Amino acid sequence: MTLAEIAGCAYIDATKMPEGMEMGLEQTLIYDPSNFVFPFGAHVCVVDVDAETGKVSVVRWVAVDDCGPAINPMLIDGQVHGGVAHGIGQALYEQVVYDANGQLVTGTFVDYALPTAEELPMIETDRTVTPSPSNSLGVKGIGEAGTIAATPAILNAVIDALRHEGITYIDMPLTPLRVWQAIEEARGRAEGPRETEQGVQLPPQGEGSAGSGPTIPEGGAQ
Amino acid sequence: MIPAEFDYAVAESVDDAIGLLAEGGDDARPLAGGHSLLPFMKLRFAAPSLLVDLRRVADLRGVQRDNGSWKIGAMTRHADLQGRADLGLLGAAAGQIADQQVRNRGTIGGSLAHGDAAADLPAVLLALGGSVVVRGSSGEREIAAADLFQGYLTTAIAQGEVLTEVRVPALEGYGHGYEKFNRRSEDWAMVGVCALVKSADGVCEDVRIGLTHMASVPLRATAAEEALRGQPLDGEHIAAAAQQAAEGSEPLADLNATPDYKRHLARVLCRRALSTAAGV
Repeated sequence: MTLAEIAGCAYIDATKMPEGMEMGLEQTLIYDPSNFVFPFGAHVCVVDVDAETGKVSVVRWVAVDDCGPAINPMLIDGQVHGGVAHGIGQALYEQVVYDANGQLVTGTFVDYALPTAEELPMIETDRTVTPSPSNSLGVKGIGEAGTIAATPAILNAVIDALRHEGITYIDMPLTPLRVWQAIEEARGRAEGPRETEQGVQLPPQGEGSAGSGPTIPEGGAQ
Repeated sequence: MIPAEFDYAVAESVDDAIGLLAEGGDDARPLAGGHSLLPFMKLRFAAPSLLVDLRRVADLRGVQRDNGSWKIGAMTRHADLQGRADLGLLGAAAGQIADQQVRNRGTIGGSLAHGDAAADLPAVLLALGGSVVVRGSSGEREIAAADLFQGYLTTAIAQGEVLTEVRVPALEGYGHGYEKFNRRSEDWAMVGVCALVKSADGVCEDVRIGLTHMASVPLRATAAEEALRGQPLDGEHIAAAAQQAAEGSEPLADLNATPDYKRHLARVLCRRALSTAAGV
């Protein structure tokens, strides 16, 4: 019997279906794993900060993740690449901005800055393999690994580059303007309250709501 | 993202375009590469009643050397200019416009006629001391770059006129530098500074500096030019002159920059562009 004949029985000729079986070729199974899986990894990045303009460039990226046995390594690398791009976007570029009248001013991809290939580094990936005990394949998630690791890696790299200026925190995204303003403030050259972006009064550094609320860890970002 | 309704006609010659524009009335516009006008129409910032497409007018395309100057057809694509060392600053700046897809379609005439202060070529034309040739039903005239840009997206080109040619002096013996600052490489310039320097035995014989996006029109940084002219072309004198780069500018705040930040960027970029132009 061919697949076409099987499909014909299942969808057209009910009289040929085996007794007790309903029309259609559908099957539902529910797999309930005994426990969550716990992927882990570490990302290290090197950034250049142009201290004159405040512009941040990512120059090197090394990502080592553990998602258990690699069934398709190319897909794993692709997941990490995409996640890192998202993480870099959040750290350096992406921002939803409304002006003082409530008008969205980042309504197109001209204004809402997603990183493009030009802004992204080559991403060096590697893996350790620690099978999960909670499923028979030993596999663990990888889709979010890059985006979880990338954002703090960038932030910490930039703060590390500016540590000698006494800077311990800058709100995301680290736009050139914000990095420059942080350097100016640290050098005692900022004039008056922080300036506005598109007529919006900015909160003081460290009290912004760039996606994560007030997140100054004890002793600043280490 | 959907433009208002408009009519569309394809011109077979410049005279044909002028006739179609005259018939189309006050809201008819020429269409060049469409990489500024069409996005504006999609955002409803512009709503022309008729577009007169110039793409079939073959004699509007091409680069010719005419004694000491270049004559560039208005429909010449940025991609035709980018990386051409013989075009100096113009070739270098054309290569930094947006991305390759835009450069493959966008034209020098379209960019200049659009008159966007954040675009690369207006300040380049101004620094080079170039001009544009426009033709309308009452004949042809040449408009110097200094007279072309009159305000935000406003040029001296009259309704019904077609920009046909861009003329720039070849400026033999000048070094050039172009510093464009943006968040992403494909973005418009937050600030741009182009510089042309002529050196004579290490002394600045002539210097021209163009500023992008430091006002509603492109500007010359005349104070910085005067500070450097006749001075030794070393790091110290270049840095001192660059401190004057924002004099007379009126940068507007936007999403990514405050006026103070733009003035600061102009000074930094001016020093870098001058250093490249002077080879120091």
